[in-house]
Amino acid sequence: MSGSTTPGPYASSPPPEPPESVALRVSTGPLAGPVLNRVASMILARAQCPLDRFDDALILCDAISAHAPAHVRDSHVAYTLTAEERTIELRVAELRAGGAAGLMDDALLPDVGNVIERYSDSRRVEPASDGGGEELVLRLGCA
Amino acid sequence: MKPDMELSLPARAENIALIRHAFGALGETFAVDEELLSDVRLAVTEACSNVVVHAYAEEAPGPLEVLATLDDGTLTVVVRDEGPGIAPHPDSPGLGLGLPLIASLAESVHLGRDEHERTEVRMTFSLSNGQVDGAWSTPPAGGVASAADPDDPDDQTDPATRT
Repeated sequence: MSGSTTPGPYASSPPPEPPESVALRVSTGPLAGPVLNRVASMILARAQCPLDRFDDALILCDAISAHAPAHVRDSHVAYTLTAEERTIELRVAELRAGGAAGLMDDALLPDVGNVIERYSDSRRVEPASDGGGEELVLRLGCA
Repeated sequence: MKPDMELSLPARAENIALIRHAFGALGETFAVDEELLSDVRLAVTEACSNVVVHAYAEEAPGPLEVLATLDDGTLTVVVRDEGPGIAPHPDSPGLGLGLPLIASLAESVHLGRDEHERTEVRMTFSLSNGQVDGAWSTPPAGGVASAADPDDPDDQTDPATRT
């Protein structure tokens, strides 16, 4: 018997949705880390990130939220998380000039190496869209 | 005064869970009474649900913003959208209990528009019963607190100890 041509309920997948971004701005302080971790974990789960990469991403978030306050322009740090196919982009914004490099330097742990370099797949520094300071853009593969 | 936390994301149903989860950080960080935290999260969930269901009914989901500020023991949460505004919806799929529920959970509720004509629901909650003092940028006295988060899979609190 040849296969039925009637599509099953899951035969047609919905058209891919455009990348969805979540913007988070949080005051530097004890709340910053837990909020970023919670938002990131939801984005990662939605992207069906494998568990090992999920852990890597949360370690990365911990490092960033721990060290970013020393490199921001004022008392807040801004993040934009974008889930794309098999990739998460984390943009750390409102850093002062030189703040991205400072943040990277601070993430260096003895006997471990640089946590940001180790757990992200690519890194770049961009000037801030509002003209002041800079942004650190990290990408994490979730394949 | 800048909000202590701002979230801006598309007004989609799945993002309500994200917002709700983010507010759990309040309990993770400070000794906020679990019942009060549940009230805050429920009120915020209701306000965000209204945005998702009503603000952009016939259009692609527009922006949903949630701002939270803690000042002198009072938590102010603003849920904001760029829809046409709050109006009766006789054809609403819901029971119409969202705003009354928010009013019963929050200390005060204000419906209106901000300076950019965006629709907003502004809620305040008193956290001052010895739970939280000062702003969120102030470390909690006695270290990290304890309120269990039933939505948090990482929460290792013994369920038997949750009240």
